[in-house]
Amino acid sequence: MALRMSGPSPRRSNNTLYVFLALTTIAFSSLLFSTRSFVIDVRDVGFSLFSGLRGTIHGVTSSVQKTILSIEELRRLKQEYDQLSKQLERYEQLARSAADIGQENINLKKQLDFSQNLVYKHIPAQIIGKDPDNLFSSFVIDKGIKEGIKKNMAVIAFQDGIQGLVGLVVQVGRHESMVMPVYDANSFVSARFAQSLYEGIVSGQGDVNSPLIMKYIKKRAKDEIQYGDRIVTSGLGGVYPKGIEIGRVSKIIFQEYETSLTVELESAIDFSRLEYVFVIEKSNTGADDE
Amino acid sequence: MSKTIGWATVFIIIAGIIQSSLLSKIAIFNVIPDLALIILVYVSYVNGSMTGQITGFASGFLLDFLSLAPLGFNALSRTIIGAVVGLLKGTFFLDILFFPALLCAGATIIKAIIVTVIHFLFNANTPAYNFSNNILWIEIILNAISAPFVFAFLKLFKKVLTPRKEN
Repeated sequence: MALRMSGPSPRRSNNTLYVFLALTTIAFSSLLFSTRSFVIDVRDVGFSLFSGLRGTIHGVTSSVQKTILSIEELRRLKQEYDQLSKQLERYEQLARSAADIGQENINLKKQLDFSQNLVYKHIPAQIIGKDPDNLFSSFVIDKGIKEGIKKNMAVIAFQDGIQGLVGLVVQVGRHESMVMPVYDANSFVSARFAQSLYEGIVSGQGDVNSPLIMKYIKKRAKDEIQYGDRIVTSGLGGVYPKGIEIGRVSKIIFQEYETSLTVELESAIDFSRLEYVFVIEKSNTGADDE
Repeated sequence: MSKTIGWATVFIIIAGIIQSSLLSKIAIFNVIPDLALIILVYVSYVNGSMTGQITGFASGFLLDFLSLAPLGFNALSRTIIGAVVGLLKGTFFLDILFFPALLCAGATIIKAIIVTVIHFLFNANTPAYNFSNNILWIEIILNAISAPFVFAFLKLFKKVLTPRKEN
């Protein structure tokens, strides 16, 4: 009896091809809808389903790590305690000076007929994971809907005595949230120079090691801006509260044929050392909305 | 086949969560190996295109929930990778070291090409690898190094990840 030659029959190959076409069409359509902001946010539902798993694995691995490295953990906890105590002390000082400055600002604004200052509360959170895909730069924090986190809340951090902008909450699950950092290519922040007040838009380049870019700055700012100038959020757009430091100018790019100026800036936050963040909520949107 | 696809999808999702929570702490130049891709390559090579593309589709959709990727991004790219790798079923002997590394390195390059095509098709609304950047090449090397270990681990689960007659 002759041996049957192995290999797919033509009919089976056709089935495979049809299934392949169907699957790619479905996936393509999904991608088309998702980039157009589809009406139903299926991602939130799916993200919530997996929100517990990550936290569980993080908890298990943290326990094992702490058991094995107990001595190192004790030393680290001591350092962390000191660091957090200092941060708390700084935060209390900031809150006191903010109250003083706020009062002064209120008086000035009454005289100039400005609208009321923004007031926001902090929700502390810890980074528990990063994006599993190397192409995307998001990270996950351990607070979600239950703790009061909402989409489009700004995220800041205290590092080396500086309150710096970290990013924006883009997806919220029951117990976790996903944050798009300020260096993401899809991150756009309305900003201004702290001293000269020239405005622009800060965006990332998708890579934590690449500098942030501030564009659409008026050309006449060229003579007034310097290396090392602080860039802060302008508060326009109502997404990020104003006055939060984004970074400092590291390079000024001026082309005669361009209609505006571009600068590169080093982020105020060192993301490689970032562990704890604060999600801030504005109590009102005031006059800083466009 | 459905059992294989189901188990493979579970393995891939667990790998995705491990990549997100554990491997991100030991990233090299902020790059981590794509364990989910390596598992997909193994399942596709051992089972063929049909299983590979369905596994890629299902796991890709679920991975989109874990990532900032638009819904459908990973589903599309991994469906194609699963289908392409599945075409190579039985072509070469799956040794311990060399072929898994080569296969996964190749799959990573295919992923980069697919992602670039998607980037152009969707008006740069999705990211793409910069071929002159280190990120892609570091990921290729990490995937190639991790592949033999992951393949060896997956061979322990032959009963659920391979067709019954081959078991």
